[in-house]
Amino acid sequence: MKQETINEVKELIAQNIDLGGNDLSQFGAEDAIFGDTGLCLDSLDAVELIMLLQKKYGILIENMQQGREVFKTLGTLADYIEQNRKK
Amino acid sequence: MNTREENTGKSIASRFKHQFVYALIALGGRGLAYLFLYPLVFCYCLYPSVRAKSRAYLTRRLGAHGPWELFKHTFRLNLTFGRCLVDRAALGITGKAEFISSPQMRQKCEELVAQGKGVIMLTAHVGCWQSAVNCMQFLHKPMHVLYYRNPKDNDKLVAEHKGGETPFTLINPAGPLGGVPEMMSALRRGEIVCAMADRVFGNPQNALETSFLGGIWRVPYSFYRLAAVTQAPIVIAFFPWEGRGKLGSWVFEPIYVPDAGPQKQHYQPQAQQFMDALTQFCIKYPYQFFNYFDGWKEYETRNN
Repeated sequence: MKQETINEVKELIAQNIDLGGNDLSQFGAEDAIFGDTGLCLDSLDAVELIMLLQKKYGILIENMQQGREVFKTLGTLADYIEQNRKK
Repeated sequence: MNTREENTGKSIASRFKHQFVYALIALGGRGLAYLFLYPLVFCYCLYPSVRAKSRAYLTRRLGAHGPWELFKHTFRLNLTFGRCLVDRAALGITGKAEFISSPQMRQKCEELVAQGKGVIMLTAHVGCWQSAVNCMQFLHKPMHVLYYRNPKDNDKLVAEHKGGETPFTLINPAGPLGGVPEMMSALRRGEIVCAMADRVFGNPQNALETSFLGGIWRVPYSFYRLAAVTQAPIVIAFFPWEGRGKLGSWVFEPIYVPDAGPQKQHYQPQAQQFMDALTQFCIKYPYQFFNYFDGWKEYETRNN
């Protein structure tokens, strides 16, 4: 189930965010989403990702503290989606 | 000199000098502090490094050629900056400042807030913006200011002078998420997000090239993308220093940004619109542009 959600998120990111040639297939649950490692997304990508989560799952990310926990890795994001999705 | 180091928002003066100016204001009001500024600014301007920091702007805006011209204009620029800082401290210490705004300007802002989509207020490092964000209570909506506070910064925020609460919340743009969750949730609640749109902070890739005073100046484009995805209107507002304790306000027509996707080039017209407004401000108030670094050279260096 979690792996399915991870794949769904990766597909969502690949379709909507410019990854600068980064191949998403190499990333798994333990890989970081933002920062200097993993997917290396930045604050501007955060705008896109937060909007995508809101549209697709009805999930709202309200602050940086929550964002840091939710967006820590692909796995934490998948967990959060599974527990909080409204769509 | 490293441009990144120049553009940090760190205070020029020491903590002791700040405390000394605060004491002058408490003892003799802003007039005494203004008087002290003359010899202080004069001495500062004797340093070549101080004149170098504003040379690019003064040369482009006022044609400051030659050492005397540059000294004269640097002195006037820094004197106005000092007055803005004194007024900001005086607002915190004495609670006194006059915020000048027309009924039309207030109505325009109130109407934008009433739309319920939030408002992105874009301003720049010009005039008395730091004092002005303390005077926006007439909008009756919480305000959030995107502001990186350098740990080495000796300035106090207005409310810190008396230990009170700021009438706005600070959103820290540092870190990978850059304050985006806070900004987006504030806009969802119909609140106001205020940010400086004249300097790039964070990832240098997230910048757009705009034309400004005869050269290329890079500005962040995240605010325009944020406006596009949230459908919040952008209002450009500048707050000139208009005399002793007087903060002016200059609000431009709102910008509604269509959602043109994440490609940054789609938002270049809006970024240019902001810089055109800033150009108008610099024409009217030549000594109130407080970006102490050469943004034009930064662009050239990056592209060579």
